[in-house]
Amino acid sequence: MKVLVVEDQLELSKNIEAYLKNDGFQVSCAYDYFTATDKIAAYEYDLVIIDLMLPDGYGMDLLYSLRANQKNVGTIILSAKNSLDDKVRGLDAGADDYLAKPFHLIELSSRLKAIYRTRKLQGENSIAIGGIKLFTDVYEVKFEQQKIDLTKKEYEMLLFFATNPKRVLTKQNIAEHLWGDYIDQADSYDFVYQHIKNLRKKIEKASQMDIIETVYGVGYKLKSFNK
Amino acid sequence: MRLINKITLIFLGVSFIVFLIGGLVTYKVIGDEIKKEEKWFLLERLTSTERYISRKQPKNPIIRDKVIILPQNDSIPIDEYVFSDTIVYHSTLERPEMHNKLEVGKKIEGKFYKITLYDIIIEQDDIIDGIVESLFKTYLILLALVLIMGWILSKRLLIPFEKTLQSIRQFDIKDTEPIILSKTGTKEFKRLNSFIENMSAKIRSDYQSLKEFSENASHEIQTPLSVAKGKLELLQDTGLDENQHQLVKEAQKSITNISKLGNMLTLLAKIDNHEFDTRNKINGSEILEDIIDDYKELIHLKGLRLDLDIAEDVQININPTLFEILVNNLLKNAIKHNINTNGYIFVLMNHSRLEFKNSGIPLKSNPSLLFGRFKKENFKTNSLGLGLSIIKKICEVNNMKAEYACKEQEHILTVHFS
Repeated sequence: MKVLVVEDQLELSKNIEAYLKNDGFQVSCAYDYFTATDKIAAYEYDLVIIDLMLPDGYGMDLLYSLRANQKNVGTIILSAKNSLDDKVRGLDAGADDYLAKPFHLIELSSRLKAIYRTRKLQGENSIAIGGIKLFTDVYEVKFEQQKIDLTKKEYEMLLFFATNPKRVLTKQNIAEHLWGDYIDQADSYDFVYQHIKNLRKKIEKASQMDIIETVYGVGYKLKSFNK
Repeated sequence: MRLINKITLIFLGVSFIVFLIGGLVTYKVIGDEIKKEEKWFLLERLTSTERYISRKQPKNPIIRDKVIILPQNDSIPIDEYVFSDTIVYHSTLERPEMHNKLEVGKKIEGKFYKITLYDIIIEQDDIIDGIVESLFKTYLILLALVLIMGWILSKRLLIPFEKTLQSIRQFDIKDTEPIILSKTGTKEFKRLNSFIENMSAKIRSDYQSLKEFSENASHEIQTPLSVAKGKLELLQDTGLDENQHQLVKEAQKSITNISKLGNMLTLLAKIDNHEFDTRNKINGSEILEDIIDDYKELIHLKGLRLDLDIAEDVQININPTLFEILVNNLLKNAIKHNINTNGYIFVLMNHSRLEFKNSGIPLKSNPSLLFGRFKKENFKTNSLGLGLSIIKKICEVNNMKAEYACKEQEHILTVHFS
């Protein structure tokens, strides 16, 4: 997965680069509009992350030219202005997703993977954890041909774990990923526990495996499996 | 009270006092003059009486109306003029009247006479009446003239002032055109106008820089916060132990709070800077229902009962963005400050008001105080204390009224649409 990060803030760009590299992405960075157009013309990327405010241009223009020339690039826009305007215009211009600053890198990474899955992996599209397979195109989970019935939230939660296999996910990460930003109005994220518990139970019942491990005081983590 | 009316009143008051004093002076002067004239008149009559005596040389007393001549056998002191007031029966008026009396002894043709002369006095009452009447009429004329003059002068003299007022009233901080005031010859108005011109220019430039600052602030603050947040996430991936994870988590929480705080303060500044002045007719009911839909899951997760009574097609004239923020804040408030067991939220919207009723812990402080910035009922909650200020500010700029009442376990936040 080749990603271009178009972001003028050097530090932020470095964060994204380091995090995504850790996740197995191939990352290159452009710090201004000019370099970005240059790189987009010269190389092929699977995904482009675009900050809307660039020193020498407007990120939206980059989006338009991408959409006009390279149809199959996944795009996600970043904006400091958490305004509906930017979001709507960005999505109208053909961006696949939108993130308002400040954002969690895990959220960025998960969304990039989701975009990548829908855009690139149209045929064979499954993620395996141990013996459990997630079919992301049909939203199904199977253990050795046996279908596991999950609710929408449980499915999304399992997918979130599956796309971040080595990471400890905090309850806040999970809550914000599944329920959106407004969930931070909740005083505690204890409801996440309930959903995790149900998910564990269903998987254990089908596969006799507990695939999620609790990291006390922090959150949850997918148990490591040798593929 | 208008300036010209004040000046007129003061002027009339002062002239009233002057007229009073003037009346007294006039009374004194006229009274003295009349007295002098009366004396002079009596002396005149004395001369003619003397002539009469020297012609007739009467032996017997002569008593007439106003003249008494008493021939004296012995010598009496002569040429001592004694003036006095007395009351004598007036023959023609047929009633006692005040008279001036002159008594004098005279030696005429070798004989002594005591002569008494009377003359009717002009009464003080008559003088007073006369003075009061004339002064009163003069005062009336003065009053009428002053009022007319005042009216005309205020129209003419105050024209530049009125024009300046008009310009100030039309002053819009967002305009870039400098304010231009009409020329005037009056020194005070010249000073006023130049002051206003300078001040408005200063206000506009300050406003402009403030606006730029608040617009940039959001972007500039959010970016470093994003960086810090990202670094913490990278740190989390380096295999931390439980304690370290906990520390990172808390740091992240604080960063999130700063970021939210920045957003909210910027929003308040933007509303203050009239950046949301454009208003449209919007369908409040639809927007309200959409937003409630977004929060239904959270409400459910918190185990709250939600009851709605939303009238259809409530049209509100408001900035759409602000209305969304308003409803979001009201709803977040009702969710956040609720209780854990048997909590409820009741949302009512009709053509006159929007009302959020929710269960909660009884307030200790005065509900209206919580509209202030950073005013919190409970310092333990992770609330920033800006939600209600934003609600209030949005209501203010849209001519609506926000009210917060708390009845024991029930909190009621009402927004009255004008």
